[in-house]
Amino acid sequence: MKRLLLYVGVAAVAALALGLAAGCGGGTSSSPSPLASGASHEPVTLTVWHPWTVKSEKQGFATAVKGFETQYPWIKLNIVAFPNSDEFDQTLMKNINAGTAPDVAISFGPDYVGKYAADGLWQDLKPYMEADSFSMSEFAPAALSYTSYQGKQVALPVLTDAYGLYYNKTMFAKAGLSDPPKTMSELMDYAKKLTVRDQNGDIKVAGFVPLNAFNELGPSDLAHAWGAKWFDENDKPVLAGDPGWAAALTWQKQLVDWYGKNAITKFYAAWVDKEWTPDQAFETGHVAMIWDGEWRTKMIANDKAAIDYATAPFPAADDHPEMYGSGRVGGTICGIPRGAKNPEAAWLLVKYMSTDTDFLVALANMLGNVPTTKASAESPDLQIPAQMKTFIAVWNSPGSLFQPPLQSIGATYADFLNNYDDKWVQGKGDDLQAGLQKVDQDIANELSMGQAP
Amino acid sequence: MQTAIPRRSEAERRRARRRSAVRKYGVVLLLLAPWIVGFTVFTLGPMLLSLYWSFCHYDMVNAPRWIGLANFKFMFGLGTIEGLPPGAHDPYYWLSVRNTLWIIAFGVPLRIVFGMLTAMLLTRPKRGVNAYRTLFYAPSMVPRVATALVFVYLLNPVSGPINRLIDAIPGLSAPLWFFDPAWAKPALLIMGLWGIGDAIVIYLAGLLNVPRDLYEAIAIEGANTWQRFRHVTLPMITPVIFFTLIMGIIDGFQYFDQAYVAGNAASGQNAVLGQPQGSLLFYGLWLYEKAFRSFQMGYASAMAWMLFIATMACTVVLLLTSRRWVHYGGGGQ
Amino acid sequence: MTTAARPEAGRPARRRLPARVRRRRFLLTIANHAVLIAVSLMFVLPIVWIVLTSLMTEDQAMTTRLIPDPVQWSNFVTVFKQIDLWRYTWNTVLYAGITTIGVVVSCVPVAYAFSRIKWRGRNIVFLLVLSTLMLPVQITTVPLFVVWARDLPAWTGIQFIGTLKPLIIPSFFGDAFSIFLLRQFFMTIPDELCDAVRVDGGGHWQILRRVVLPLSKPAIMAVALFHFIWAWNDFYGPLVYLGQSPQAQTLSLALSNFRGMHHVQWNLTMAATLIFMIPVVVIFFLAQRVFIEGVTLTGVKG
Repeated sequence: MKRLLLYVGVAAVAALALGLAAGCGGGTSSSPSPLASGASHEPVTLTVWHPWTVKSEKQGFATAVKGFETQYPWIKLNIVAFPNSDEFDQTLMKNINAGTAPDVAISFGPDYVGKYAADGLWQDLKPYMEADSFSMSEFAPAALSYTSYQGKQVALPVLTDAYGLYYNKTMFAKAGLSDPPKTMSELMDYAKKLTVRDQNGDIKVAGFVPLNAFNELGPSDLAHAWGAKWFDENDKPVLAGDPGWAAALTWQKQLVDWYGKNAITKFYAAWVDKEWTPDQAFETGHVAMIWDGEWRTKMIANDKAAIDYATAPFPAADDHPEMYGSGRVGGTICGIPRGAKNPEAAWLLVKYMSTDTDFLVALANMLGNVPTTKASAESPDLQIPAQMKTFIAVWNSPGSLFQPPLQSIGATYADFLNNYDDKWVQGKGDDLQAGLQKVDQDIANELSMGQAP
Repeated sequence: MQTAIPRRSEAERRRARRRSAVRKYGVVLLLLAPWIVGFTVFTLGPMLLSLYWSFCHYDMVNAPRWIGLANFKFMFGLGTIEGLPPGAHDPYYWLSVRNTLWIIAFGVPLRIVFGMLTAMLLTRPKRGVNAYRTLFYAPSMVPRVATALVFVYLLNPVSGPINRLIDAIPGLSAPLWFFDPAWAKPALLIMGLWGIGDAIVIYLAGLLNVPRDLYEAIAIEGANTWQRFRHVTLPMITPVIFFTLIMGIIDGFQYFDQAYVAGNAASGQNAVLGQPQGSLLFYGLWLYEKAFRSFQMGYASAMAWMLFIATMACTVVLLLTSRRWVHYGGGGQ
Repeated sequence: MTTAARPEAGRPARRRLPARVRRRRFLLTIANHAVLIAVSLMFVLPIVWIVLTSLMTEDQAMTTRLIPDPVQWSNFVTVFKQIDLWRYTWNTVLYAGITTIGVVVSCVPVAYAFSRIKWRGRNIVFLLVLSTLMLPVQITTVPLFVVWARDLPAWTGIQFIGTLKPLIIPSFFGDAFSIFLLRQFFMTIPDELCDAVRVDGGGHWQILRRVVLPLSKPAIMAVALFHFIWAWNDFYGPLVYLGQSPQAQTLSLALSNFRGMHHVQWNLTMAATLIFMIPVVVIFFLAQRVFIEGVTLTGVKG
């Protein structure tokens, strides 16, 4: 019995020592070697991870990227598609830490670019760009807002998303409206005019649904109309300090209260799940105006939705007309993870995917995303509906940016605001200022607790 | 003539005994080896490592950095952490604790009561018990992920069959279930009721084990149904109740799968923060978010240890108080 | 010699119960069955809805119409084409199957040591084994993940995350619940049988082989079945260790991933759910009695 205890004790100490040694192993960041001129053309296989799950899109990507293999015949591509785009970044990070990262990663969203930059998980592309005389002026200024953090350029955009207002022209005409709303008070007026209720008082057609998470809308998108900022120069959250937030949330609650909380929540519950189906609320004529991304134009065309619609930039606040024409942008990015086995060849692919006109046009035609370079946007081969022009303009507008701003802890801090917003619109409407202050405090704490040493 | 048989000396006898003891413990060790190795490597080791990390800041990329009690201070909002205002605390920690306690406080008694009642129904009929028993047990075999998806679909406020049934009854207005923070957890309770089949089976076995002569004895004294239940049935099945109580509480503390899937599927978003409005943010979910999405492994380890301490405390309290109300009739350990 | 009594006299005289009592008993039985049927309906209806939805087109799945029209049997084929369902099924079979073997092989000797050999400290160590049941899985997952993800590959050069290895390897080192079940059962084996083998000069190995194992078939079956189904349904383990690895996913993960780009295709999801559920339910139907006996081994005796 005693010997048993002795054995167990020794084993436990050994396990602890093992564990301490394990836990103490930290990550090392490797600096990429700049592209050497006259690099060898030895055959190389690049592993590429992408998150497209729909079969047609996977095939489309594989076809479009064949141009790369033609241009660089010594490089072969091993393309790996992920079954679920939602956990792509987390899985990528786990694999980077395990040493099994791909050479090139394509992610749908820039949420983690801050972490990639701060922790050296994706390589800084500046040395490659300098060696290749490649500059970020290839893209609109908005690109910097989601591909670079603290001076490190760790990603390049591969097409992008841009958001704006879609409106149903038929419903407008019936209500005697012709032009889209340009200010937030016009938006609220039109929303009220265009709402149709049925005999039970339930909403049959909603003018505009201002709820968080309905069709990609978030409180930060509303606040953008007031030019509201998340952080000040010292990187401190200013949701309570910047008056735009209070104004936006007040606007939002006014409209929700006008609908009636229960009525609008029921409407939300009925339609929120249909966002990516042909039964989407706008496409089936149940919503008159909606905030959405540029891809909706393609979906409307594919689904042959029976609506006569137009697009325009999202309205700006009455007292901030300078914000009109801008909006949220940002989307698919690509980069070279730390530990990539063939970084020089990976750079060639990254450069290709972000700037090659044929590739971008092919992808844009398939996915309906916004082409990010001047050449691709003006290409005669681009087959996009007329309504897409709005989004190309939004992308190029100097006030456009990515929300929420990049931080080294990722983007989960935005959930504090979103959760508060849910409570705010359903609540009694008391003490918005205190609520925003608490959100500020929570974000600040989260940033402090999560900072790398 | 008697030959003298040399007597074994005391020392020799002791040595012989020790040799056989060593042989016995050697065999025991050999037999237990797989478990010992497994326990050390997969349980004890990680536990100690996680204990160390709970005092560190660790994001899996950089090496763990010792920060003392800061994680716990952040959890409880006590004391001052360097770089943060006094009283800074995790806004969702206590929410997750409350949600978890809620689901235990309502879910476990529901399971016991309904399990017992349904099992009692099954003791009466002479035929068809097997069919019923299978029917009740089968849903508890369904993977929890599938159950969650199914009930999200069934409880959709507008197109789900259940709400359409309720709405058809005049005067009743159906709740918005997973879209209403006040009804999201009750929806989970309904989901949980579908899976009480394994409890029903255990209670049935327990009820059938109650010795017949006890019933006959009390029948002679002219007891009615309630008295029969209170004085014979209930005491005799207290071991079963105790078992389901403990397992229910332990499982309740770790409630994860259904909330993860339901929170995701119902609102169409991928935020893990227990939609709607944090009403489904259980302890396990918040821990998962901190560990694998925010990569705050140190804090997550601290949370895991608090969970362990809470589970142990509950179990020990239950064990100690069990002597008073649990009757081990025959064959209990 | 006495004459044999008349045959009828051997049977106890049966009094007919008064009609009133008989009627009351009959009504009670009906009422009982009625309640049981109602309860059964509540258990069965969700499954009916799953089946109906799995046959609908995607548009109809979210509408209020209950009967699929048209009936889209092709959903079950589409499900296999949309995601790599064959591979995921195979992964799940591997995971459940190999871990079941591992658990049985490793737990039998351990349970034997706790039940058929008397040694000092036996009860304390057994309590230690049981206490691991109370351990929240989260407390070991986080460090284990890091070890599997980073340290073990650094030492051995083998990749673990994204494969089934981190899930399978621990199963060969015992499992508290199975040890508990087997130990309870082993304790009911009569001592005389084991003594008989010892008298013949056999050691523990012979006792195990000749007496304990043959007698324990039902308990081992129960342990194997419980574990197989648990592993088949396991979600958290695969979620943490397999992540989104396209090759190694199991069905539970695939099911929760089952969305188009951003939304839930309910009809296909229900079809996939059925495919996921059916093996488990079939196994249960075939092995009911083993299950129920296994269940009683745990709960009734405390």
